[in-house]
Amino acid sequence: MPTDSEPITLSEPGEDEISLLEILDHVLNAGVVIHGSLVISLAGVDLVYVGLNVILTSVETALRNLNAEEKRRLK
Amino acid sequence: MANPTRKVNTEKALYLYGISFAAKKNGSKAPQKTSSVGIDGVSAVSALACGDFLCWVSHVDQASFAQALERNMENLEWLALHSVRHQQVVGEVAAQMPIVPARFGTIFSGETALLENVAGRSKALAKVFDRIANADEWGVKVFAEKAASPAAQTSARSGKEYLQQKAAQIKQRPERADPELEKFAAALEKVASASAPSGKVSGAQPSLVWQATFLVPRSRQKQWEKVLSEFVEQWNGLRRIELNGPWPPYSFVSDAD
Repeated sequence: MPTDSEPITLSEPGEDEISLLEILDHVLNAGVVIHGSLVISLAGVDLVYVGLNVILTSVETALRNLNAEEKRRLK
Repeated sequence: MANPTRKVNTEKALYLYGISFAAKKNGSKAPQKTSSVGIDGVSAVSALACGDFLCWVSHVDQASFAQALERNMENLEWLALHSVRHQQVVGEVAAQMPIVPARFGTIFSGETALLENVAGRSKALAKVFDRIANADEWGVKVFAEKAASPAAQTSARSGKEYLQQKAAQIKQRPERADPELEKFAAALEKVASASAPSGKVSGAQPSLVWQATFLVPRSRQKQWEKVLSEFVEQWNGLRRIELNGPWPPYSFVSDAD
């Protein structure tokens, strides 16, 4: 039985794995026009998600390095 | 020396992250900068006083950033990195005070242009603040729990065939015709103060059957979690619910434009 003190158990995807996707969903939701050439669709499949999966790792790594650098600077 | 052309060229453009109220209700002084770095990865973010408001801005270079923005928006890798920087700043401010997030890529030619623009929108801004103060944006996604059919993964003989199979998989979605999903959406909408469609970017996630974004008053956080918990329990093994947030109210401020 879940109690008040326990956080609700929703499924927990790997945080790094989805965070970038979610950030883009929300940050770009506010009326940003995503350019035609970005939302490429091939045979009826929206390729933005596919493309994002490919670049996800490199961006997450770049950001982690960036954050680590900042922390070092602040010390 | 006083060359006007030169002056225009060296003026730094301002990237706007969002707008807060200048003073907190209790009279304490609002913070003036963020620890997160600016959108260009170099410039510091500061709070510029604009009448009753505080504009969260950083300098960006006219040529390499402002003028290249449109082209860069088509570059997924650039967009991803810069969206994260945008979120880091807006998220840091939102954790301390209400902020009306600006659209990603909002740039002003200078301070004068920004001040004029904000002054002209002060009424609309005040209204939006009333709506978003003490509320958070939450994303909700529902996934089908069935394992992907192995045939779809392996039988493609060409790239085109693979994409066609993928398209067929995506089209199988019950586009909210499922009464269970409608019940879920209605239950969430009852607790939330507003809802918006979402998922421009992640719409093609495998097994995703439904998603939406909600503005939830913090005073109703418990009820919100209760509704989610109930459906997690009811749908155990059938559908998986993913919750993401709290986000700054990105999806609920378009009328401040």
